[in-house]
Amino acid sequence: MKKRYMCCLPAFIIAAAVWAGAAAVPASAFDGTDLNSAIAGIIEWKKSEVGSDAEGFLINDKFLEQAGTTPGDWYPVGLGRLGIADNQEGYLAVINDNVTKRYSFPYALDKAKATEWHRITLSVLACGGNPRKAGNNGDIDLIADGTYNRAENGEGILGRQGINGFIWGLIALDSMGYEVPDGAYYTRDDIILNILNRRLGDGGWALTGETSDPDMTAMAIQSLAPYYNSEKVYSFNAPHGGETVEKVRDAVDGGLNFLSLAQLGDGDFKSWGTENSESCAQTIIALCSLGIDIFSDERFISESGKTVFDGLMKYRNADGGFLHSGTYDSENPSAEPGKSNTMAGEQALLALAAISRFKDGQRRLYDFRPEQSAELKEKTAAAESRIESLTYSSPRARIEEVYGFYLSIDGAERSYVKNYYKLSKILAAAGIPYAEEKTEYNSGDAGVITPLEEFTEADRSAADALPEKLTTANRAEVLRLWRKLQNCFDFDGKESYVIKLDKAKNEIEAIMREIDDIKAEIKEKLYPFDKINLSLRGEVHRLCDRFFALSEYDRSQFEQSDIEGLLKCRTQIDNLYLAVWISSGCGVAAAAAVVFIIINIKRRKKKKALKYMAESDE
Amino acid sequence: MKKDIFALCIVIFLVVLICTGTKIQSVDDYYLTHIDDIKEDSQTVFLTVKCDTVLKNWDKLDSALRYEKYVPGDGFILKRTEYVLRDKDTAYSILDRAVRYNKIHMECTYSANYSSVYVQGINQLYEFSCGELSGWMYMVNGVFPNYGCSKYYLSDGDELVWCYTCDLGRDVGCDWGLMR
Repeated sequence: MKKRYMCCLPAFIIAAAVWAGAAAVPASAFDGTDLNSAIAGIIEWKKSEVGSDAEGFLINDKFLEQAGTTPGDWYPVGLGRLGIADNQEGYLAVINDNVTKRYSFPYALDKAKATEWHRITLSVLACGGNPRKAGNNGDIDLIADGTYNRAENGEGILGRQGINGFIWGLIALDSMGYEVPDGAYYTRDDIILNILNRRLGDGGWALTGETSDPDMTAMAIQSLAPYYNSEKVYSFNAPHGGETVEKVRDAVDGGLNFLSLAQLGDGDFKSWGTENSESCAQTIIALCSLGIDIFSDERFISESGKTVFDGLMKYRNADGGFLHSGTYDSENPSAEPGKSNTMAGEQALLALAAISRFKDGQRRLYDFRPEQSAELKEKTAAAESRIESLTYSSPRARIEEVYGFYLSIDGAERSYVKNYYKLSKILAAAGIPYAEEKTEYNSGDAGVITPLEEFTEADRSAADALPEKLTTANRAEVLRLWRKLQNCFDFDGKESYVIKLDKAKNEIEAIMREIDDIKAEIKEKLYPFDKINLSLRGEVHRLCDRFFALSEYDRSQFEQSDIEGLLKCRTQIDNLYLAVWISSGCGVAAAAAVVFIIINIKRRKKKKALKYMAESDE
Repeated sequence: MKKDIFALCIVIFLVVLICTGTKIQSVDDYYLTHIDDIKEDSQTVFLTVKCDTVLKNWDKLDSALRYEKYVPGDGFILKRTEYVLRDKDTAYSILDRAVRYNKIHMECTYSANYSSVYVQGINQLYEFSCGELSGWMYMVNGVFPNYGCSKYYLSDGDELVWCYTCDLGRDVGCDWGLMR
């Protein structure tokens, strides 16, 4: 479940926890488990969660606040792979701006987590962008920085976060069949080896320990799927298996065997001791990536006849979303049991996209190259049926002919021949040597061409409709329009729009900086309130004025403890100030009273003296 | 004479007033400025932030962090401290308040929209700073809840410990129910 979210590892699993525990929903609580309604259900649920209506975008402004984070990047991947039009251009505008911003800090996206690059690579591709030319100026190469050139002080750091770095690095590299140039720190084989040599004795993979985990195993299989038909032999000394000589296919088969055995009666799996939906989702993606039909392959139908799809559907919630787990934690019932979960939903969406793509004969979920031509698909199908017709006793010439036909398929496309493994065995039995493998990789920027766009009437009115006083709520829209203007045909009045949007973009950046500055000053200057004295009064009031000068929306970007700290401090100082005035007032009054008493006493003395004198006169 | 005594009383009263520094506060102001003061009837929780596991895995630690100021010699970034438990306080909100009061660095990804908070680093110690299985976890009364820290609501008297693990929890006593 968690691990895929690669992006965050241990603590994530642990502390972060994006999922809530949940009461099991009986299977009868919903019906219509067909693919499309399940997909529509997740999208509808997610839309309502981000406050969008059925006709609105899922990737709305609120959703876009998350662009570049785990909960913000996977839904766009799912939508893109399902071919569902949404606000993809808005996503690209915001993610590119975020990437540029984060590259202005040391360590760019993240020091330790290569998977930040990989996840963003996939989401950018899914939205029609180009990860090799990311950022506002198109000068950031997420592929090189995130995979083969990922080194620091001459040391490779792709695996700093463990196996996830390698798995997702390989997936990112293969997303467009990117070539690894000579002289890069990692070669493709280095990365593959790092996945192979982490395999455990029970056949699968795990983040740690000696027992495999379904999620990690499924993800490792997803990354290795494009190499399933490769005859390349890897030899290495595995920490868990000693001297090992194997092909990728051997490792993947071991992983499949583990998954098959780990499947529970309902079709689902346990990960980290908990039955959950995400293990099903990852397994479905893995099986689809190998061309395995999850509805008919006996290895993945439980004794009670349940498929992994059934297993996943078990966690479908009445609102269309998905639950992480059916386990209810009685120790903390306040943790929103039975509530659909963002991570469970996004992984379910990806799994359903994988099934949908498999059924439609499209490429694997994370293979973003242009779809195969009808001709290529026919040829692949022809190769499959010819392989199916072979037996161990087929004449050698016939076997060679079928192999020749298989080899006539482009090297980068052969992995889509689902039953090649059968031919491989027959070739070995017949003593026919395997041909040398050579795959042409994509050395350019992936063939993603960004054609010039029309800055449409609708875009112009959107730009005209921007309010005079901008807030960060306008950020996504401003960035979308700004980006579109960078890449559009000339039109009358373009210049004025360019000026307007440049200005708008700068203004919003200034507001964001202001928000960060105020937050930092509250943290640094006010907490822990023990040195609050009147000399700070001016500063505190200025800070308050700056805070209240922000729009209501911008103020909502502060954490409760920021606002509380600010108000608490102002109150404390104002009380102090008032106290000083009152004290001074009291002081003056006391002094006046003392003067009054002294005068009074003097007058009385004088009176007495006069009286005494008068008496003595008598 | 009477006037004098009256005036003298006023003087004494004002002097006493100034000396005791009586604050003139509304009830709301008082509540706001004293919200975190521990009183006899306050509900409280205890918070500890520790990274002692790093001391045993020094060789794995990012060399830039091998200093006392990041990893204190006794392993405690924050020794056990009592905090007032407010309504709806979570394992995250107490940590957030504590690091603010103690000026300890903390970075998290915060999502106001989805109310999920993920603590990435405390005192410059981040996830993966000490090996591929390292990161921050929280424990309440000796148990590691399988919830987001901003979704775990605390109760009076809870012992909250944020601890840095170098082995995905096992070195701090979390077994993940790995028995299948």
